Amino acid sequence: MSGSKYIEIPIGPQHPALHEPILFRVKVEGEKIVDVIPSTGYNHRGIERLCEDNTFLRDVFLAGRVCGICNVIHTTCYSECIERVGNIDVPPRAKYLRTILNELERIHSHMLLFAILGELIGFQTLFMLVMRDRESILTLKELIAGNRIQADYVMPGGVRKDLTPEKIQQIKKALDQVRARIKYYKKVFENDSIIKKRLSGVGILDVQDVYRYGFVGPIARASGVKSDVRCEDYYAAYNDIPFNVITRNECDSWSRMMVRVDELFESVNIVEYAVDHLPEGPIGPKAMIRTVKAGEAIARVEAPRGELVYYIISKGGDKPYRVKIRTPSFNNILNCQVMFKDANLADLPAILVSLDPCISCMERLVVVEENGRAEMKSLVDLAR
Amino acid sequence: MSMPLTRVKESLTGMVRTIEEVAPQRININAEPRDVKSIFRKLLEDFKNDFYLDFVAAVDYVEDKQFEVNYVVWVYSLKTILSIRFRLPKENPNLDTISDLIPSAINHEKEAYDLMGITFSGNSELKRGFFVAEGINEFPLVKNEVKKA
Amino acid sequence: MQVVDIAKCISCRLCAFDCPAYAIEMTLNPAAEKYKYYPVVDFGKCVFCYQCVRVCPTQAYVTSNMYNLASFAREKIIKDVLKKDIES
Repeated sequence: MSGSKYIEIPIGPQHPALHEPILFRVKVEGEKIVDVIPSTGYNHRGIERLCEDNTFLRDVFLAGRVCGICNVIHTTCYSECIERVGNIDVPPRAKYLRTILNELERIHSHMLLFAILGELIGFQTLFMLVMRDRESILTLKELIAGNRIQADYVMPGGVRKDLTPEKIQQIKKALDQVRARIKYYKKVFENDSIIKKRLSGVGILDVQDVYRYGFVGPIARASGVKSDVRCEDYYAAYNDIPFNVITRNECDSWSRMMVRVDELFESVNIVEYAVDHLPEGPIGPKAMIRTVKAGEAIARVEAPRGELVYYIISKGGDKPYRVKIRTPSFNNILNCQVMFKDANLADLPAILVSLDPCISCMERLVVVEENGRAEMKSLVDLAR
Repeated sequence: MSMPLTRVKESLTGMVRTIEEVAPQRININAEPRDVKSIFRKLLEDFKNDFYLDFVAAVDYVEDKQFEVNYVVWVYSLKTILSIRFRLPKENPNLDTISDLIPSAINHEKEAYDLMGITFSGNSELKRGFFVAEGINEFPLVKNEVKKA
Repeated sequence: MQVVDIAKCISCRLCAFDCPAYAIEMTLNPAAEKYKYYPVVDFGKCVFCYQCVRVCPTQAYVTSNMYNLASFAREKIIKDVLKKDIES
């Protein structure tokens, strides 16, 4: 940009907001941001292509590794998609268990974001406190699924582990404590002067832009758009469970965080309702689902960051023909330049973190050049 | 006939080849590649502020020797996914861009070009290295016999 | 991590077939009387999804409380774990 009166500042690719690689080329005039160009390609791992080369059963674990934070949601979406392709029925108990895990994941994902927000706006105490309370949710997840983060809990046709009455008591006890803590955080977000000053009024997103750029999830809801896959497109047990869709009309960074705070209460209520009304019965099919009949389907679920879509084409046999993954961050991050109009450079992290960026979700493919010919690496080679 | 299907048929009949409801909340539409702009212009007129572009999926059908570009649109009021499909020839697959109508399409088109090699005339931001590492000339999601061997 | 009770294994290879990380290799044991192949888990590759535990028809895989996999060299991981196992 020779002869331009703007200065271009690169932010990233080393962790501009969350600890993930993405480069933002920010054009500034003085302190004002004129334009932001997100530049990608640092974290491309080849998951869509790998899915085509692996069997349906192995892809379950691959889908869980698209994103570390929302792995249960990814496997849920993958399994829902397989079930839609193959017309496989899921027992009601498995549906409720999926719901419980999905909501626990939403709680800990949002809490992680609050912690990162505290760190980025210079409020380290909030980081420490939220991370401590997040640990109790992770313990619950370990109790149910066997692992703190990487649960690998959902399988096509059902789930992998059952819940005992003793565990339900533990879950309820922990959730009561968590609810009290979330009440405290809501008070902090509403009253703390640092948070109010840094977040309110920055990163304004118009309702019109939500439709035009396809923003999803809490970001759309904070601009007054009532878009929540959980009540639009029924999956898991959400059509049996009463809950509210939180919307706000402030359209700024602060309202995006407040939507998430209020969603935590809803999530806690959903988990409590689900463990109380857990139906009896099997939790999955007797035999593993290894082959899926020919067909195609689109499945949508509501991830913590917004709407997640899987599009799977099967031509019969044990391998998918095409797996397309569209993660919420793809829509939210790559279109984020509309929020930065006339913002200050110092507000950039505060706006960015309110989008809950997840770059590893967004990029999924890698090719490694060998002997002049592009060659796909298998999961084994990538693990080395 | 369900309500969403009626609405979509009212809106798009005459511009597309087939409209069918494959599952609850899922409507598949097949259309000719040259109509891509007029279809989205009509959708913008009829469902203004009521839909957003969900994703654009490009699929390589080896047996038909064709690419399929699948524009998936979520319509809020109908609670329905419209999946609008265009078949393109294997040689020089090209579509008109819709990024001037729907700005979010620009990134989906960039992804489709980077992974599948489908060009969108009118989209000036198409480039390699959007996702795939730079210096690679092949399109990673195109299925060909060399990779299988 | 998971441990295999080789006495229960019937060499059906389901675990090796399903392993998403290709971490399980069926190895020949010439001294065995009936089922000549037994699984060897490479914990350097294992992603701990416990699919092998779930698919095993004879429950030969058991989840354990062992977790100390860290080692200075990748090749030593399996050896070190085994050594610790014997010592304890």
